[in-house]
Amino acid sequence: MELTTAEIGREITKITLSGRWDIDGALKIDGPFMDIVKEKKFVAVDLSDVAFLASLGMRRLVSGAKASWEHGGRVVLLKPRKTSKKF
Amino acid sequence: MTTDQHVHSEWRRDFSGAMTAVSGAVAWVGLIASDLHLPEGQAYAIQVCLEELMANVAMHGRAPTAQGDQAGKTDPLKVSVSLNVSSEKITLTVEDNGRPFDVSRARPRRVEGGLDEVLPGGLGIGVIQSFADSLKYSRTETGNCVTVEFFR
Repeated sequence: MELTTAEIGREITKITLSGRWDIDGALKIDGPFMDIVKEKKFVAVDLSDVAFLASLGMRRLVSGAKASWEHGGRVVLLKPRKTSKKF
Repeated sequence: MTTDQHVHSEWRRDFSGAMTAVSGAVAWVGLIASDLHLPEGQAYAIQVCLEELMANVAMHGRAPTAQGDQAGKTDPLKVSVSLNVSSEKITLTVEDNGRPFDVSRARPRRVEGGLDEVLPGGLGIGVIQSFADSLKYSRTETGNCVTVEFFR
């Protein structure tokens, strides 16, 4: 699982995730993901290249959204795949 | 006169019940699904159910306590994964030697309310129940047996 970031304008940070958000993927990106959502106010998470998403990944997305919300920020999800949408 | 032939194929492998074994087990099932050219959605469903089931074992299975001279020590958690493929369905069977847990009767956590109310965890049960066409549980002499069916 890979995580890359890009700044869009002055306020939005886009996180692009690639690969499988399974247990191994979660171990790799959970820390950096949470650091970003806690630091940046508006975060867009691009899921178009996430081939596999299980409840561990969902847990992190919810945790991240809550952490962001608690400091006045927002997390939005972009382009989840059809299989991920079922979640 | 022709008769229908139901050809069954079965694969079985044993894994550790530790979290570190989950990815390997899911990858093994993924390879089988790929070799069989299963539809992407079905292959995904099988893998995600296996991941959730094995993660549950690793997180909550708590190995049984050994008896006699080994009292106080616990047997390592083990998981046996079987995949049976027929023309009608694909059956995933996960057996473990952990403490009793009937996943088929577990209530999925409801996701409702705002972010201030929703809790991050407890989503695995709902995932399994939503992706499986059929979910059955039985308690064996050695542990739990969960059978998940995916209709073709």
